[in-house]
Amino acid sequence: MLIKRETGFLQRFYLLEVMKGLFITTKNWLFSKNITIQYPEQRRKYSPLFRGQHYIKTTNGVENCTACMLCPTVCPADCIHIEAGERADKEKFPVRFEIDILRCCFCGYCEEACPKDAIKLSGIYEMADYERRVYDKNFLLIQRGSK
Amino acid sequence: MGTITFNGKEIPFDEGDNIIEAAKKAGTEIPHYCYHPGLSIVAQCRMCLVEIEGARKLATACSTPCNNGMVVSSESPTVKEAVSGVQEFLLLNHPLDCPICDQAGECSLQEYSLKHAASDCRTDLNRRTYIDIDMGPSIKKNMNRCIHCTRCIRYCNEVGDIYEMVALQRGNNTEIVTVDDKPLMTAYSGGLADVCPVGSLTTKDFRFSKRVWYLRRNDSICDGCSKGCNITVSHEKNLVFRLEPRENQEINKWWMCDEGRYGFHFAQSPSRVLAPAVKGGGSMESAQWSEAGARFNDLVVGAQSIAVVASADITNEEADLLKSSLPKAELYSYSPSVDSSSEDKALDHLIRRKDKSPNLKGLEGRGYSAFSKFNPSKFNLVVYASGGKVRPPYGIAKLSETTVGLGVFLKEEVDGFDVILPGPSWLEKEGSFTNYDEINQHFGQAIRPIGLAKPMSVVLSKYLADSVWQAG
Repeated sequence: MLIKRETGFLQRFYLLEVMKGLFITTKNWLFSKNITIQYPEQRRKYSPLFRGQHYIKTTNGVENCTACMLCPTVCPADCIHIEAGERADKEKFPVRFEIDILRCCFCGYCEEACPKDAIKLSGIYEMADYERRVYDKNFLLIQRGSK
Repeated sequence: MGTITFNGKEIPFDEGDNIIEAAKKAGTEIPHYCYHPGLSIVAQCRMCLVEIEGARKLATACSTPCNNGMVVSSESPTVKEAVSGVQEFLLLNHPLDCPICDQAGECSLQEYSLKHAASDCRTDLNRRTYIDIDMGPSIKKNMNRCIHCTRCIRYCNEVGDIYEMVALQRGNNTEIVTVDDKPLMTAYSGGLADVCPVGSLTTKDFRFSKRVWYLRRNDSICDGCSKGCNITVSHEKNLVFRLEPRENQEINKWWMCDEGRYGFHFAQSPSRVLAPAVKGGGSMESAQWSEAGARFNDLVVGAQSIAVVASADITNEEADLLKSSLPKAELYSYSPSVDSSSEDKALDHLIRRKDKSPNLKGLEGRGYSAFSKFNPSKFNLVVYASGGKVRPPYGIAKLSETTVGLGVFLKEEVDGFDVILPGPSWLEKEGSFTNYDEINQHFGQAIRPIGLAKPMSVVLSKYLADSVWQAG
């Protein structure tokens, strides 16, 4: 609905309105705090609950994962691919553990489903790349933690 | 026939039924571990306790036959408390290794602890542990998970008919072992994994290959021998992971042999021929379907005398189709171990038969003669139809002038063939087998044909000229 506002005599000169606007601009320019930060050097503090790049937690150098397949079962994007195997020091371990990161929607269900506290989402959010990467087991075993 | 009152409802029972069976027919499951319909009753897991009116104590439903007018309750507070207590005792020593246990997802212990046990654990005692000794190529034992139901011992004694598993020690320390720690000798060892209600005995073949909740199941018939055992095919993403027996009282009851159980691997063998091939310059070269089909048609049209040799694992429908599409041809069936079904006999007390092909009886009924009467020099063209596991007789392709292979072949067998037209194995098609007892059983398709394999009906109708079909 169109509302027609009455303009007074002084307002029709515009000079006073321009002065008012300039005053607000000057006030913000001189006295307010900067919103932007110097990104690569300065970083924002994120919540510890932030869900970023994945990693598999290790204990004494051995991966916690037992290839129980609960994370691919719960994954809504179907982006986790695991192949189970057996070795001398561990009854069941993931021979292949791949995350198709472009499919991942970072919902964190995998972390929630994991009974062994193995798959974790770190605080790392810089995941831009020049190629379509699939995270393999070696890459995921880098302990990232949260920043 | 009579009726019992079960949980306030009148349910009928057949003569000789115990309470578990009567309740099962009425659609209620009474939890049980040691009871199996195919094994003797020992009533030692105490999970199936029910309250019977007039009885002083709770009774085990597995060992109590139904009596007319009996009033039984499986939902009274006393029963619930007792069952939850039994379940708690069983979980006292059970390791919480469901993430690495192959049984997880189809484990009675998981199901019943969800339904009948308390959600928390009141003990912090150490769980008993055992050192497992290898039980041979088929079964992997994990004694820590065992709940001492002794189904495996009874299975060996009563089904395998070989006394090779025993329980040592007693009470909490009971250990199930093979006698003198020898590997299992029975030809039915895979069934131990089926009867074990927990993950103590699992098959090495299926070990860690898939979690069971991913698997989709289709009913089928085993193609391992002329018995025709009813099976369930578990598969995911067009790959078969295991076969399990399906109850059929007339044929295999609840069981199947190891040979049939592990016999499906040939269909997924890396050396299976999955694309049509024609002979070119001495060796087989893969070709387009149109090219191989046209070559097949040319050979059939040009041949003076044709023989169809069908390995006895093609379906009855395919046998009929070959007969009607090649009316000029003489028909022979081939089974590796017997020449005709009259030589077939049972190899043991239970399931295994001498004839290692599923459909020899069906082919004989359709006018296919025995392979011993086959004289290759008489024919210009031999069409060898293979349905799967039965391997063609050695050097069949080199006996006649030209040979066409239709169906499942391995790369090392196709040397000497002129045309190979890959077809589906029995897992990938629908049809029917006639077993040694003349029982005709239909089975459905479990997975899609692998590779470029095409069903025989498509191959014959698409590539053979109409004149060939009408030649008769």
